[in-house]
Formats: sequence, C-alpha cells, structure tokens
Amino acid sequence: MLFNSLEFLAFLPIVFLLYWFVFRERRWQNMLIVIASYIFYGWWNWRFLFLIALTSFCSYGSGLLLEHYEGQRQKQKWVSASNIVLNLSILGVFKYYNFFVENLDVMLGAFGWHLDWVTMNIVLPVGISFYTFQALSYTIDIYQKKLPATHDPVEFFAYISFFPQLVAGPIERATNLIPQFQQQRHFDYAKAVDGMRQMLWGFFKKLVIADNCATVIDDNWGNYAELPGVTLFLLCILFAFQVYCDFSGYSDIAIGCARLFGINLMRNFNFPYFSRSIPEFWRRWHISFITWFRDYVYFPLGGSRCNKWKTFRNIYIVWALSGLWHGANWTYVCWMLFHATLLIIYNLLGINTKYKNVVAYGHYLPNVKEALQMAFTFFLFVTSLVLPRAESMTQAVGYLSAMVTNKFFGSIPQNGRTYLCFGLALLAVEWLQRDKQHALQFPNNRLFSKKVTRWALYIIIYLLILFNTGQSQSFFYFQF
Amino acid sequence: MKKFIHNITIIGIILLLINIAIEFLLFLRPNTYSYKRMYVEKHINDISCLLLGNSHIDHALKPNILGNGVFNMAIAGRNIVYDIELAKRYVPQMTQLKILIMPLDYYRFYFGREKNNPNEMKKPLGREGTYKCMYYKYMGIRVDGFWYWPELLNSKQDYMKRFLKNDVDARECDSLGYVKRSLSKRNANWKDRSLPKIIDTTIDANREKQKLLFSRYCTLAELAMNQGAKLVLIFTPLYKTYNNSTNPVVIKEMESFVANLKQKYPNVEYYDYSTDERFIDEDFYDSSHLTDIGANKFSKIVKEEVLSSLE
Repeated sequence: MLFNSLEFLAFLPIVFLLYWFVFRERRWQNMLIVIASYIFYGWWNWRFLFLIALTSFCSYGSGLLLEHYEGQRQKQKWVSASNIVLNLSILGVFKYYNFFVENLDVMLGAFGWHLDWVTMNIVLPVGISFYTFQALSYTIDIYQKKLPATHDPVEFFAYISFFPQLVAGPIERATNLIPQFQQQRHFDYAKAVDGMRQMLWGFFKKLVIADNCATVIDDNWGNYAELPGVTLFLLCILFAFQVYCDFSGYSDIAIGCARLFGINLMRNFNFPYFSRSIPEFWRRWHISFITWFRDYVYFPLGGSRCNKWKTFRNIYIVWALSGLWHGANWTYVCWMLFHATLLIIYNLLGINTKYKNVVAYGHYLPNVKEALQMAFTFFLFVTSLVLPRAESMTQAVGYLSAMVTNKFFGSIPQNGRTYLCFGLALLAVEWLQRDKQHALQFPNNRLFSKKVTRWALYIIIYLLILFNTGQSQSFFYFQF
Repeated sequence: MKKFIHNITIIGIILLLINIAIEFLLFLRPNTYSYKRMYVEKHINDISCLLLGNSHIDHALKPNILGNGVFNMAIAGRNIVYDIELAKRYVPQMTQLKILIMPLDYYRFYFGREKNNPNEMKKPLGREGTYKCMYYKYMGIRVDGFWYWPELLNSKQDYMKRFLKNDVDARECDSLGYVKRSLSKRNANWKDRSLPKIIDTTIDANREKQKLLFSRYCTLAELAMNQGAKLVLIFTPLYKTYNNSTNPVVIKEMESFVANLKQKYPNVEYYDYSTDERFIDEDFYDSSHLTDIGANKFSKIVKEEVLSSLE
C-alpha cells in the first residue's frame, strides 16, 4: 500500500480508531500493529509476507537462543553468525543473485563460457533491505549486550513490520523501538498534531515536487546526447530535488504517522542541503542508514581508531557496501565510492568532523563563506547524482561527458522551470525552519498561535498539492 | 483525544467541502471528453463521417482537411469498449452517416503473448482509473463503480490545470476534435517511444480474447451497416522502429481477421498505411503517432484514397 493512495486514506483512520478506542491495552495494540502492518505490506504482494515472517521468526528465535547461551560466547557467536548469514542470504537471493550471475557471466565470457541459463526473473520484494537491516541490528545488539532479548513475539514482529517505516525506513534500532512497544502508550495531543503536520509536509514534498520533477527528468534524461550542458546540470538539480523530496517526504510521512500511534521514530533527514561539507551532508542525509553502517560495519572494522590507511580502507569498504545496498548495479557502488573519496579528502584536510551545529544559527542569512561552502557541497552532490540516476555506467559516463562537451547554454522545458522554482521555494521554507525537526513545526509566535493562521496554511498547502499533483509515482527508495 | 478528533473532523469537513466544490467547478470547465460529446449531440444530423478510436486517429486525421460533415471523436488511450458504447449511443441517430472510421491497431492483437520491449524508452502509466472517470463523468459511460466519478480521486491527468487555461486550451482539441502534436515538442528519443511489445509466439494466443475482439468489431460493422454506412478500418502509419518490432505472425493474424470481418460484413473496408513510405521522419511524433505535419499529409491521403473512393 502506498502512502499516496486512496487505500491508505481509508486504512489509516480505521487503524487509528481501532488502536485508541477498541484495542486500548498495550498487548492488543501491538497485535493490531502487526495485523495492520501485514495488511499494509500484503496489499502489494501477499506472497512476500512469508518472507518477512521468516525473517522475523528467525531473528526472534536467534534472540532467545542468544539469551539461552548467556555466558557461552562461542555458541552465541555461532547463533549470531547463523542469523546474519540467513538474513543476508535471503537479501542476496532476492536482490543480488542476478547481479552476481550476470557479472560472473561477463567474466567467464572472456573464456568463451556462458551462464545465461542460471539467471532468473526474481522480483525484488519492496523494502527487503530495510527490514533485513532492522532484523540484523536486533541480534547484533543482543550479542553485544546492548539489549535483552524480547520474549513477546508480538512485540518483536511489531518491531520488524511496523507499517509506517516498513518499506522505506527510517531503519529503526531495536534499542529505540522495542522498548516503546513494551510500554503502555498514551495519546498525546501535541505529538499527534505535530505528526499530522509532518505528514502534510511529507505529502507536499512527495506529490508536488518529487513527482513533478520525476516527470520532467524521465522525459529528458535519455536525450543527454543532444541537450546543452547547462540543461543537463539543471536536470541534475531537479533530480536532487526529486530524490530528496521523495525520500525525506516518505520519512516525514512515516515519522508523522508513527507519532499518531504514540511511537517516536528516529530522524532520517536533517536539512542536508544546508551542509557546509560532504561529511556534514552525510550526517544529515538518510541518518538511520548511515549510522547503521557506522555502528555495525565501520566500527567493528576498526573505524578510525587505527592507522590512516586502515581507516581509509574501512571507509571504502563501508561505502562500497552501502552502494550495493542501494541497488545491484555498479552505478550505485561507484556513486558511493566517489563519496568515500570525498570523505577521505575532507579527512586528510582535517575538517571531516567540523560543522555539527546548525548553519548560521540565529541569523536569517548565512555569511559569504557559509554560502559558498553550502553551494560547493550542493554542487558536488548534484553532480554525483548522475551515477545513481543513470541506468548503466556507460550512460553515466556519457551524461557527464555531454555536460562538458555539448553546447553549453540552454534551458529546461517550462514545467521543469516551474518545479525548479518550487524546489527553491521549498529550500527557502526549510532554511527558515532549519533548527526544527521538520518544516511545519511552527515557531512560538503570535502569528502561529492563532488557529486561523495555522488552518489557513493547511488549506493553502492542500490546494497547492491539488493544483500541482504530478503523475502519481511510486516512492524512489522502494527499489532499494 | 476528544479535541484531536474534533479538530480533525472539522478540518476534514472543510476539505471535503473544498473537494466537492472543486469537483463541480471542474464539471463546468471544458475538456476533450465533454466537448466531443456535446459536439456530436449538437450536430448529430450533420455528421457524415465519424472518426472513433484512440491516439492513432486522434492525432492523425484532421476533419477540416477530410471535408464537411467529418468529426474526430477519437481520444488518446481509448479502450474499444468505449468506442462501442459511443457507437451504440450515437450511430443509430446519425441520419447522414456514410462512413465510420476506426483504427486497426497492432497492439490489440497481442492476446496474452506480449512481453516488455527492452527498447521501449517510456513506459506508459496505468490510466485505467482516469479513463473510467472521464468517460463516466463527461460522457456518461459507466463501466465500473460510481466511485469513479470524482476526478480528484481517480484522474491522473492534470485536471486542476483546467482552471488555469482558457476554454480553447482546456478542451485540447480543435473545433472538429483533432488534437495536434507539434514537431517542436517531439522528444529526442522519439524513435524508441510508443514501441510495441515483443510477441512470444511460443505462447498460444488467448482464443477468448480473439473472439471478443472479433465480436466487438462485428458490433461496429453491424451498427454502421444498419445506418447504410461503411466501417473503414485503418492501420495508421508507423515508423520503421515500430515496424521492426512487429511480429509477422501477428501481422498475418490481423490480415486474416480483416478478411473474416469483410466476409461477414460487406460494408467493411480496410486500408493499411503501416509501412507507407511517403511518411518521413518529420511526420512522426514517436514510433506510432504522427506530428501535425504528418497529420496534414495523412489526412490528404485519406481524403483522396479513402473518402473519395467510397463516395
């Protein structure tokens, strides 16, 4: 079920009313969450419910076994490793099998052997990368004694399948979510209202900006050989707006929706386009994913607590793996390796951990240095987006070279210009709200304390959505 | 909780009222569907040649070139079910009708054997709900539940933009129903757009679907015959990239389909322009649709080779 669908419009109020008025006891609420989440996921393809149930069941069982073997580290290691292998195998088969077979085929092709017969038409289950990572983090956390095993299977199944974040994150940690399922939830008016606002902003970003930008990009991207360099760069900017509004829009809807049920999800985007450096950008973009890799891959490899060369090796390993996580295509791997290289450069310059505060805090405008830093970071990110958008490395290289070798001056179609302006307007609003959790978190002033102002704003946003709703598209990050 | 439910209910009611108002205001704005319906109803006794079908006719034949009494009622993306419903409703009332034109499209002959074409650049969006809505709301043809009436719930067309356009732009077609596609707006990869699917001939064609299609064309032929009119089937011009992707088995099936139809209904005529070499690059908007230049050329050809021979 998509958030931007009629089904969800009916589904959400029904689950909400059942949750707070019928199933008021914690255990029943958890049960309702599991059932609702399975309906939400099964709406797309019910067959893949078995897969998510298998992942949940195995990880739940592993948790209990880890507790059972408390004090027997060797056995715990085996249990933990088995669960990791099992989960990664499921992910590998559904997401990477054809990728590896095709690459093996290319390599063996050099010797005249072909493996065409072993490629299969495997459908990628939506959100498999997200819930697999949640399942993995649970057993690793128990193994590392950060978390006790949960005995209630309903709590655990609710943790894996919680519908707001099931298919595109945020990738939650067991340490954050399971304790919330273990506590009695109480309805909090302020939290629920704020959740609704965050959802509204998420819908605006997705339906008005992301979907419309997607249409312009899809219509023009393939023509890169004939378009001027400036147009190609403007298309990349539009893609930057699309991917940000699509993904952060989904996160906003997910976080807002979870708040309606009294659950707090972790923040996933922190206004990344106002970053002053690439390391700062990655601290603000897809936070749940980046911190997952940091905690479960980078730190165990030694992180930065080793010599420089090993640190750089670790950075490359982590970012190559995260590229593969994004998709079974070399374009993603190269995209992430490019950013790994940038991170290493910032590391060598000694500014990788700089800029943890809000840019130009307390001021309306940034100073010249900050503005240039943000523009440069944005430029680097936008240019690198050619890689994940391209269908192949050949296309990516072709696009990048066309940006330089084609005629330079040009513009984009009228609708592209319109949504470029919308994107810039969105940045302006987010700039004013950059110290908040989301752009519709109203400041405490006289203007917004009036109900009429707030409601007028809701209606204006709703009308903007109606007047500019693009051709409805699925969420970009579903493919991951 | 009470306060939350109360506020949500009030804002929900406000939004619902806004939606209802927008739905009815949209109803008052012109669009292709309502315009074509109104035109036909107003000129029902003047129309001597009615064009039905989809974008292959909608963008290809200009009634002002074809002659007096011609109206293009085709609309892009139309399913043949709607053609039949429109023909059933209007053809028996058309006292002057001499010719009913319908496209004969390659894609109608897939019959469950189709696979995605790897060369296809742009995948068409699922627009079933949009069509169900537009035909129901503006042409009065309901093929599904009543909930398909509101555009806000079902349409994927930029319906709200109609408020921002003048009447002529909002209806999208010229006064005789033709919808223009400019060469200047053609995409650079036009040759690989709107390509057909690949036919897997190892799969048997679905017999039920074959029979259904035949019976539908029979219905059209019979309706035309009852009015003393001809049913003219046209295989519209296709670019070579399209023709290279067609399957000769399917083309033969199309020919035998037409032969069977002509045998049963003597008022059926068939014209195949799919490989006509008079059409050059600038005539095509994509692999299977014509530009305005192509439509000019094709309309003149149809006038000379089809309409004058039938008159």
